[in-house]
Amino acid sequence: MSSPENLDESRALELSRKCVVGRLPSGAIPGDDDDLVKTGILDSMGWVDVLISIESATGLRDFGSSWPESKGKSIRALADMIREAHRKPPEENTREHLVAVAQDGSEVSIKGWGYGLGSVTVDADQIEQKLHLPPHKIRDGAGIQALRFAAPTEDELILGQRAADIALEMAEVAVEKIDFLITTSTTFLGLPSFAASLHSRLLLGESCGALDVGGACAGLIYSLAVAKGLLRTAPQGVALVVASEVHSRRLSAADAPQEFQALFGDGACAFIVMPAADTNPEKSLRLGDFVWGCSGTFASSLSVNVSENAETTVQFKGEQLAHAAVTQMDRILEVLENKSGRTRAQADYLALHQPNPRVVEILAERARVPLEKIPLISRTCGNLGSATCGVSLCQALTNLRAQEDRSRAPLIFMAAVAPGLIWGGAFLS
Amino acid sequence: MPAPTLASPPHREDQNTHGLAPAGEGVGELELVDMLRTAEVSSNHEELFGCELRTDTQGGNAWVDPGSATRSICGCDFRNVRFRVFGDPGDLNLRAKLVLQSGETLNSLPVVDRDWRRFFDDLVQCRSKSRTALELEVFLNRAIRGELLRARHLFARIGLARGRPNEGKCWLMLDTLFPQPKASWLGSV
Repeated sequence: MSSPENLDESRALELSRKCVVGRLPSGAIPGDDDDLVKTGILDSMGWVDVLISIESATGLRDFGSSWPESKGKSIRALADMIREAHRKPPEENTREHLVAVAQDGSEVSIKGWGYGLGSVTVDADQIEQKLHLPPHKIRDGAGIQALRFAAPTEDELILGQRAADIALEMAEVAVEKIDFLITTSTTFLGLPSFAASLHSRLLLGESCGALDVGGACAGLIYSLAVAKGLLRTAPQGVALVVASEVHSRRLSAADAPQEFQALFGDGACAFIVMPAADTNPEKSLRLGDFVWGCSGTFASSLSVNVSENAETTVQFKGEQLAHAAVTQMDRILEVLENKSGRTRAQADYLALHQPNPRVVEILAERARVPLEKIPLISRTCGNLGSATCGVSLCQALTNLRAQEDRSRAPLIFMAAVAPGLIWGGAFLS
Repeated sequence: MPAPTLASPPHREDQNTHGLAPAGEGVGELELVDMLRTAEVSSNHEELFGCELRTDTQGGNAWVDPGSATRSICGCDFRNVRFRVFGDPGDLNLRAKLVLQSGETLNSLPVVDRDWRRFFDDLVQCRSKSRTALELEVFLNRAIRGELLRARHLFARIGLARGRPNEGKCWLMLDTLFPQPKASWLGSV
């Protein structure tokens, strides 16, 4: 609920009366100046419920968390506090300021990040045995050393919660401050949606929106783009972006080729996105422009279908998909170079979607970038779907923060492709 | 022996324990939680008290119709918890939000667990009375919540307050919260 900008005394009193009366037995209407607690009309719990009711009605956060000792607890005192909370410094109310904020609001930064991986590590040899694959097919053929799988007690929500808690802690942002939760997950199916379920799990405020974004492996980039766009409508807002996938259960139940199943792991990532003006440039990275697109040319290279009787089938043309992925991600990097005005050679890191490590090595060679610039999470975790480039980005951001050399502005390129063929990219600086 | 009280529904099972003394050794917390899990337990809103939970305001505490509730206390496993602190330094009010196994949330539960209340009072003393409610809340939700969520036994007992005469509502409250707080958690203060 948005808070009214100008609240005159009579409206504030009316609102306070409504919130107090709503908490009392029907028929009880105290005077505006009666101290509700001292007179016993409300006990301390009832008083807190009134404060919460006012928060809900006005959109004010932390209203009454600290009530001045000298102030009585009356309807009139509540009205005064509501009006005081609405009063903003004059310079924040001018149209020019709002326009400037809106323009600056297009500049958003990542202030906190975190990731969570499935807690079970499965060696490549074990995977090959379990899926009856030829020895070394995964380890040598795909370059995977191990996969991370969710334990029986873990799911997309738990992994997402873990990642979000880390990001919130790093950003030092209370959950009550989150205005938007934007999530993506290919493996979480059903209703309530992943965003709604995670919203409840994180105990986010009821005025915080929850939105699911598609895009499969490109879903995180699209989610960050959506977050940036939404923050233009709320220049002082905070967005939490989460990607979470548990492939191990979904693929094992599906009629999927074994060599396809052997590529995927389970994990989640989370990012706190805020207006750049509200962040310390030393500790956060600005989200630059995005690029995106879709080409149906390669639509048949990977398809997942759920039949009427809920059977899942997967069709996978590995070589065609790998070729399409490499070609498209190279193109994305080229467009990002144009948009950022800097070359891939100048990038500190490339946070890329990683179908498997071997594909990434091919891409690195084709794109002429050192492999060391790509946090290669797929080698030890597998393809984490939408969370792949996110976890890679988390590692890149952590590495950058640890670096002492601040002589030039850091730069990260992100790129991802997904079945369809959907693609997306962004740069951070 | 405990004696039934004269409480009105739904508090029919309340027992008066005034004057009772411990007869043997206490049980450990894990064992206690295992025992409590054999009593009434719910994974969702409706099965907590055998009736619908109602709320008057978004994000506010819930209540039940005393005539509809089938019991006055119920256990539940929870997935996450957050605290809120209201009030001024001399009169602080602690509330908690929980997520049940079903994904449903219980908002703004007054915390009446004796040990958690005592812990909270100790925390206020440690942080000095001049700390604001907001600062206490931040500390609870970072340091203390982190310790709490590390435990294997995330279990709570939700109770119903007796309710004011003529109000027609029994408000929910957080009767017991496991794990119980440890004095060592204040070490990071």
